[in-house]
Amino acid sequence: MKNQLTLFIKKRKSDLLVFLMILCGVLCSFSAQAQVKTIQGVISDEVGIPLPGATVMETGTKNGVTSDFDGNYTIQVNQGASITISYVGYTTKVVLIQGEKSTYNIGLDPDFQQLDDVVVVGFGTVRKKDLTGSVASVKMDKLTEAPVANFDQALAGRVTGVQVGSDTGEPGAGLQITIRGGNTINGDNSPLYVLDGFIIENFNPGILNPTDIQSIDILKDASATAIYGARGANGVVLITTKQAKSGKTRISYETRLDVKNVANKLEVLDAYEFVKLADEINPSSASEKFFGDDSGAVVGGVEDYLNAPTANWQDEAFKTAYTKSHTMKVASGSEATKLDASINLVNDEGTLLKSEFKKINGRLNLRHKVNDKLDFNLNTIYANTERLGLDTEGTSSYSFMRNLITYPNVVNKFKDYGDSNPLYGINPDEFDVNNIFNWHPIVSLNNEYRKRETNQFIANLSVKYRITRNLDFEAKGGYNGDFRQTGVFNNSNTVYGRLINPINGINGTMDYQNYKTLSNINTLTYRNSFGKHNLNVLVGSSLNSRKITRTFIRSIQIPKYAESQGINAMDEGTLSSTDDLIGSSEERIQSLLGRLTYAYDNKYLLTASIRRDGSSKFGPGHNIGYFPSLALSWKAEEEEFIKNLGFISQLKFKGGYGKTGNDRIPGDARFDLFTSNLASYFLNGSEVLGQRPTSSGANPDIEWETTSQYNAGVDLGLFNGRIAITAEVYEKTTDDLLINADTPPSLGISSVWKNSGTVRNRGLELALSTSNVKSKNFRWTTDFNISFNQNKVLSLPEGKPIFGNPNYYWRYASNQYIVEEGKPLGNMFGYISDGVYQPEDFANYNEDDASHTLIAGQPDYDGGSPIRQPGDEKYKDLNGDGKITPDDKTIIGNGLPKHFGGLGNTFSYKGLELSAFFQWSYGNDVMNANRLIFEEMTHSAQNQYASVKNRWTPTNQDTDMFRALGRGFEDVSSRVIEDGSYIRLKTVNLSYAFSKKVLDKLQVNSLSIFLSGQNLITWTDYSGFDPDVSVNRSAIMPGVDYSSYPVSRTFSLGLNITF
Amino acid sequence: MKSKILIFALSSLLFLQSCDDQLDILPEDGLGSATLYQNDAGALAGLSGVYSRFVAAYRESILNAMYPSAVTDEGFENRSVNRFFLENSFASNNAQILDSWTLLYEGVYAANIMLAELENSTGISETSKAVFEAEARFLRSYLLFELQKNFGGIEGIPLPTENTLKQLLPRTKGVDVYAQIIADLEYAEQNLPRIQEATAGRASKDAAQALLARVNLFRAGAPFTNDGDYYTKARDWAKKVMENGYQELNPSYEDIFNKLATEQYDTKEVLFQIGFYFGNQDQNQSNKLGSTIGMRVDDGSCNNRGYGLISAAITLTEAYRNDPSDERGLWNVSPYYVPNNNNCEFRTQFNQTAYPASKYRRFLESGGTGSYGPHHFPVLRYSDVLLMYAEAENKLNPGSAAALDAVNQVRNRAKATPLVGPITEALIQEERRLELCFEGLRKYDLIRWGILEEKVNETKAALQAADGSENTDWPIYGSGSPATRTNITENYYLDGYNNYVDSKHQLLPIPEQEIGANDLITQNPGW
Repeated sequence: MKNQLTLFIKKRKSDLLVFLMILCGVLCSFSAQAQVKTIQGVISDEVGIPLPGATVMETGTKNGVTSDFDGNYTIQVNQGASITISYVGYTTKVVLIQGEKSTYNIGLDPDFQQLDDVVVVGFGTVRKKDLTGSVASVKMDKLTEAPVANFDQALAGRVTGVQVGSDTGEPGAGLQITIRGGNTINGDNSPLYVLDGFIIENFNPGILNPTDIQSIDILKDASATAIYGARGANGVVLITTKQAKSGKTRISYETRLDVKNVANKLEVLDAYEFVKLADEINPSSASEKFFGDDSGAVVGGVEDYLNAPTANWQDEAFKTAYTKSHTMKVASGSEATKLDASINLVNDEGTLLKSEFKKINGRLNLRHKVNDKLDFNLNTIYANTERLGLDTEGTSSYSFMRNLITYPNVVNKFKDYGDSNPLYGINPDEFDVNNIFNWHPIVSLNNEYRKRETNQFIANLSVKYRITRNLDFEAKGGYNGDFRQTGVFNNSNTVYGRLINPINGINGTMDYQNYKTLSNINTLTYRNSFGKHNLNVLVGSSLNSRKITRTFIRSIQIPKYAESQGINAMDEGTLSSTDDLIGSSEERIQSLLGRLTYAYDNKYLLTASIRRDGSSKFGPGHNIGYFPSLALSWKAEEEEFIKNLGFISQLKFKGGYGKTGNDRIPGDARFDLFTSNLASYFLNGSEVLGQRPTSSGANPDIEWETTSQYNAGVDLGLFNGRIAITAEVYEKTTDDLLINADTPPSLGISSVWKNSGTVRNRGLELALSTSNVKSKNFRWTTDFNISFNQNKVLSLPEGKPIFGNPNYYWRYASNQYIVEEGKPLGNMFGYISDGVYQPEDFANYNEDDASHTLIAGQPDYDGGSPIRQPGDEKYKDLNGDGKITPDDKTIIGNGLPKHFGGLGNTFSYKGLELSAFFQWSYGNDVMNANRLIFEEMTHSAQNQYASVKNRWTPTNQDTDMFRALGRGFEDVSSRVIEDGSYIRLKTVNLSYAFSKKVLDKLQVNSLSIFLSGQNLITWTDYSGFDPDVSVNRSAIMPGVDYSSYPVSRTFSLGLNITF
Repeated sequence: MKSKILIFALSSLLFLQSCDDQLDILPEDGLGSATLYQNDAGALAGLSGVYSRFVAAYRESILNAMYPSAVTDEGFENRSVNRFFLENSFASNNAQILDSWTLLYEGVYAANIMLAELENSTGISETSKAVFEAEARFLRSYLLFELQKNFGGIEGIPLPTENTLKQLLPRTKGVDVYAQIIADLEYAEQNLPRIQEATAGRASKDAAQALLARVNLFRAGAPFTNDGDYYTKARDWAKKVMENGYQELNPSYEDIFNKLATEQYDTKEVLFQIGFYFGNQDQNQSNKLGSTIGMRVDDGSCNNRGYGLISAAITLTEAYRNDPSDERGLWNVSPYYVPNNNNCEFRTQFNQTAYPASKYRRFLESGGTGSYGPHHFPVLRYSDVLLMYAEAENKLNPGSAAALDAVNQVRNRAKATPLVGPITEALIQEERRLELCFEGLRKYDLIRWGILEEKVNETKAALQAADGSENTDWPIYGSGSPATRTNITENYYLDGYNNYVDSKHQLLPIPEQEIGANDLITQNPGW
């Protein structure tokens, strides 16, 4: 029946064609007695899949036909003419008709210039105008304008619904990408990365050269991501690398030189102000450190330090840095075999001394067409990345930035140091070396060794077999070997390797982690059409197995004579036995998937998909999940009444629903295990190795969390595409949240993974592109996008709040974030600052006598000890009990933005193009924890921010800055919560492409030069280095700034040439 | 036809790999309980894991050493910063209290897992099982005792057993906690080897007997009532140790502590001690006993620094100086310290009101780093057994000659002037201070005697009275002319005493995290 139907359609069509051709032939015969010939064939894509609807025109005439559903065409042309075949998303091809040959099967190559029109979705591509789900395609040409080493660094503000935040400005450090708001409370909200069809866990953007990326498509709604089932809930980023195409050999070279510096520095007290503060905090210590001569007699005072020379550690720690990048590419291809290869070298210096990011990556794509039915495609990537330089964030007790800010900038001017400059040594006489919190910042930079290296090799082979015209089978096998090693060496000049009051002596660690992933994906695709019905069915299965092995070595008490060998001296020390040295684990996911795409009359589209996932992370009975989706779309522009309006070129409505999952928990969360770590005991002169239960309890019933998402949108194109608007709204609800829940410590375990709680995200996304001026030589286009997301916690385990402690510094270790039912994630939790106590707050205040009492109504601290003084930090007593206690803590800010987005303008005149891109974030607060510690005024040997100059003193009472030693609780208050809104001139690019005339003279194919800048200007009220910061980031604790690596400003000059 | 076969073949390939039974992957790294407890060596490793929780809980030497001395008639913490816990200025969110609670309960959990798995084990002989079970119950009882003393009171603590693994538990009445502790110890006493046969450092029959004496005394005292004749039980258990014929007092008081500093076992004097070490240069297995509550050594180059964070109360110093022949005086409260740049030689201290407790001496330790060293901590000493005997005997027969004799055995060893009698409760209480100060006992003793508040006020008054008076040690131990001999009583010496609230500070608060996560539990009064 089916065949008859097809035949009928074919027959009817060809009848019509014959009639037309005859008619044409008759008409033509009047005009010219040219010899007319009928040719036919199949139009197919690069791998032989028929392309329905391709246009076949006799070149230079209005004579043309379109291919039918099976790609067949028949056309009558003049002998000696040529035909032009065109299809959206593919390069137009011209074929000369000559000789006796009458069958021309023509394969088209994808046209990557027209990428905007084709969107990669999971396991396939669709035309953008046929999309039913929410998929955002990144404009790669815009993205690659930014002078960055890794593509993610240029992504912020480019795509609606995609929030890109930096933890730190360290070169090569990965960024945090959150799609449509954070779902999960405990875990990782980063999206799933799929590179050339394969899921990549722990994705490292450094393995790719941005200009090797063909396309980045971001699947946002569940109807698009459900095909990735249990791992799709955080959205999916599909990255496709450049695929080989036919054509003559092209060799190109790209190079770039970037110059970077730190955009702003933080003001600290100068020498005089520092000594003055030290004297206020602890006169006897200040006197010993600054006013005594070599004999110990006190000979000077604070005023002697007026105009004393001040060391500026920030000036010494930050430098102008350079990045050099070179790329070489080769592309070549015949009809049968095509290749595209590139190699890319980047040497990216950081602005902080000794910090550096280096990468080298190579890529080869090889395609071979055996015959009309069989194709092979091989993608390989090799990358080596290295990050050098200390962690500025450090641990909760020590951080580099703390030393940089607080390290004394002056030494005792009354002592004779001979030729040595004690400011640059670690001088036990001057500064307390037992105090690890005050280590020399420049000595640290020059001596601490941290190297993180990755080696990754990815090879994917796919075989595509065309079983029948309507049915394709594709089998793909992938290997991903990801080897990461981190080496740390602390020599005797570092805080952790010091030999005075040592911890472990000179020491080092090497951490090797090896991730080996094997994947297999098999799919069958059936496509066909019956009249106005157009059908595409995909079924498939996949298997993913990931093996992780880890080796960790710590060597301590390395002899000093060996330290000059650096990390190679590790074998001269003692191997430490308290660490978990060797480990391995395996994770496996098995899946079945299916998708049906149906179109009626090219107006009404339906996509339905389902995935069944089985994951080894969950126990039997809990390890199988089903993730369905459904989406509908109406292309109203195809309706006559819209067409009649004339000015609407696109009007599409779409809506969808789907369910996706999240499985990001440790693979052993369902098992009770023992650990040998710190489990041994000393008996009768020797160590007895032991085993103790781990502190995380097992939950054998743990399951994945699921996100259900509704999405609705409209795509509107006006005036022939000059104005394009996309608007989408969504609501997604995440249930059975995977929470690493704190258990009552009396259980003897500290946490257990649980499924509990619900979070909802709702949002609106708007994107607008306009082509403002479009003349022959001058063009001006604008791209604008804005995203709003509202987050709300609907329920929590037992309805109780969850607290977050960002743990940047051990003394400030209280709960500083709170998650409560009915409120959004990201709420900062602390006291409301109420300035400082003033003398009038006390009943019997007398400057010379500390015994005084607060008047009624003035709250005292809980316990009241020590006695409050005027100038002490004051908080609001919210519950009115007259005491400031932890019960007075409340929500004091939120780290999530109200909206964010980007605005780009591009102007081009002939070969010259100028683009400027702004990016913003509005309404997010930053917890400037630096100010907790760098405005603390409790340690006489530590410098502070210049802001403490305005501290309360009996003669400077009109201030909010408390007195020296007047700090309140070691906790967060609204005093350090700042508005983190900003708008940033993110990227400016000026490029010039040389005209054909020049190129011909130089005998090159193309040549362009460009000048660009990154992070040029930031408008913000934030007082720290940069408002785009979030150390110790997690969904519940966004927006903490403590000791972060400052973001740099970059200028770049580059050249691209193709031979 | 051909294509149909192909479709079939490919379709089967498509679905072939979906066998769900391949998904149940067992962990490769980390042992499960069922594999550990299958032989004696595995059980010993599990036992070591239980012991390791003492190392973790006592590593900072706060709960076991500093806290029981701080703000008592024995001493206070001489530090102006970061001492909330030790100056009665803290809340239920204090991190160190949470740590202590958590680590002790981790130990209870490890012991319970051990008991449950021993029960299930097929690879361990019944005889061997009984000994392991006895040791696990000994350790569990000691952990529960620590928790009950610090957090429990009348309302008690959550009491997990091997049958309630992973169950949320409410508080169990203090008397029932003691019933469980006593039952555990009585089982241990039945099944553990004698101390001379046990591996040094491990629990023994003798240690169980001595601990039973202590536990029964606590059960008899405040806040409980002696409703089951616990003094008789305490006396009888102590007497049992005395009659074992093995334990005896080390003739040298200082040698006891020299041995602890050098990781030695003197099982005749010390019935149970917590072992720390510095093997593999690892500070995680060592502790801060020597640096926090030991002799003050400012110069780091003199084989480790001693910070002397706990200072002796002036009343303790005076009590010792009143009997100069008592060797314990100069050992426990030394007038000397090692200053910086003094060639590691001693110098006399000026301020007598804040002499650091000098019981533990770091410079004897072999190895150590920063604040951490391998000093062993004494849990039960034979002189304690003698004094417990004296106390219980005197309760039962006031003025008992046997009690006087036991006290004098202790005094004679220290070359202190013997008491002439009649013996009184107050004299025994004072003797415990002189003999056992800084060994983690005082605060709990004062609480069970119901005299903590009285002693707090007495010590505070004595400290205030001593302000400005002369250092009476200087003429004897000093040399040269000191810049000043006046005591300087800083305000903060008194803070802990000033902050003391009797209705609140006899118990630590249940940590906020426990209250937050456990709906069944209630907070202690005043917190």
